Amino acid sequence: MKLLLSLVVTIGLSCLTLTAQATNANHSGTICKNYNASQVTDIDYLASGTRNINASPRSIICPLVRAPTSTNSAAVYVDGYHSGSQTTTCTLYSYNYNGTYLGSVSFTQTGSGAFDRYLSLPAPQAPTYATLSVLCTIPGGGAGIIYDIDVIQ
Amino acid sequence: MTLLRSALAGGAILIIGVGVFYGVLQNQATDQAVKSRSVETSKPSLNSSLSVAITPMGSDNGKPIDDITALRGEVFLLRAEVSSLRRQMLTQTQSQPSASIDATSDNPDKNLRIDPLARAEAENNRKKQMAAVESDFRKERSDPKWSSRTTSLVQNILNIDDVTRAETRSVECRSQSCRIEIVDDGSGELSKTMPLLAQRFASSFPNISADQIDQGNGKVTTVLYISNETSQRK
Repeated sequence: MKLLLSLVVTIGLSCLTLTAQATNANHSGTICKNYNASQVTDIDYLASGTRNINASPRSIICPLVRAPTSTNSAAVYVDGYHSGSQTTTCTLYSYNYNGTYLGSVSFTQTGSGAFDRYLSLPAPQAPTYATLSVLCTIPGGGAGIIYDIDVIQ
Repeated sequence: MTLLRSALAGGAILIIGVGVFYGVLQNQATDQAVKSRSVETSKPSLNSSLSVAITPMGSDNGKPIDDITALRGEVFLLRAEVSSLRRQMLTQTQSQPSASIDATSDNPDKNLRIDPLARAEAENNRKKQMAAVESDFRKERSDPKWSSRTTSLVQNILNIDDVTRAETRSVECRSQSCRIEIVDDGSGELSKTMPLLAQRFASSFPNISADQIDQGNGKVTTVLYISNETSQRK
């Protein structure tokens, strides 16, 4: 009886508690598209993510959905994969609602295999109405994939 | 005893009902899965709920009457809390202009788009923040050797692109960071180039803070503060 009541109360409270906070937003890498118009046919999509099938590195831009709370800041994880030793550079950008460039932060991943990198911007660079995007330059020959970008909020 | 149990069961059913109600509301607004690592951010509240609910129940001290009394009190408080939350939720839902729920409705900046005063305040705050960044840069110790070497590196990166080569007005490096001024003629060329420039700086200066200064002639000077600090100004 006690255990049952405890579980019931817990479930009820959990439902209420979760409504009070922003939820993380997991974006498939397939949202990323060519940054330069002329490279549209270089970018190829898998169900699991996006890759570049041109021989040279290409840049892809990934728009992120953000649902900020009163605690502003921006933090994302970028997941990807290198087939062989490759280099991927990704940058998280914040632009204000009026198109003003507020700031950015980058990482360069070199090596083979899967990677999972964290990027964050402080509150002054990520006010409530700022929008986020990630630009990644990925290796050619399909040797690099962006799997997903997860916004932590 | 049976009556008490029935009362408690009734309370429990009420809480489930309210929980399901809010669950349905939440599902209408969003249907997002939470990845395992992201659960870290939501764990504390869930865990606190669990501990609040389970801790008193787990202490079986051989006094069932006291336990039931305590549970009754707890159920009463929970019902009051549920009622309060329900009212808050209804108020928020009714204040929405459409069926869509604005996730930023709790934010103090919510009137930024329609309130000129709020917008002016936000712009003023932004100016203060960037003034602090500028001040920090000016206070930074000057290391002539590092400055000379790094300025050259930065200039080389700026020269890779035609736009930044032509429109860069100044580069100043001190001992850890650099300040760059680039003029934006409003054609959109710099906007297109800027993200690629940030990537070129990525290995040496992964962090960039940007400010814009209106020149009053249709042109804007973009000021970049680039650094390799692991943590930026909070």
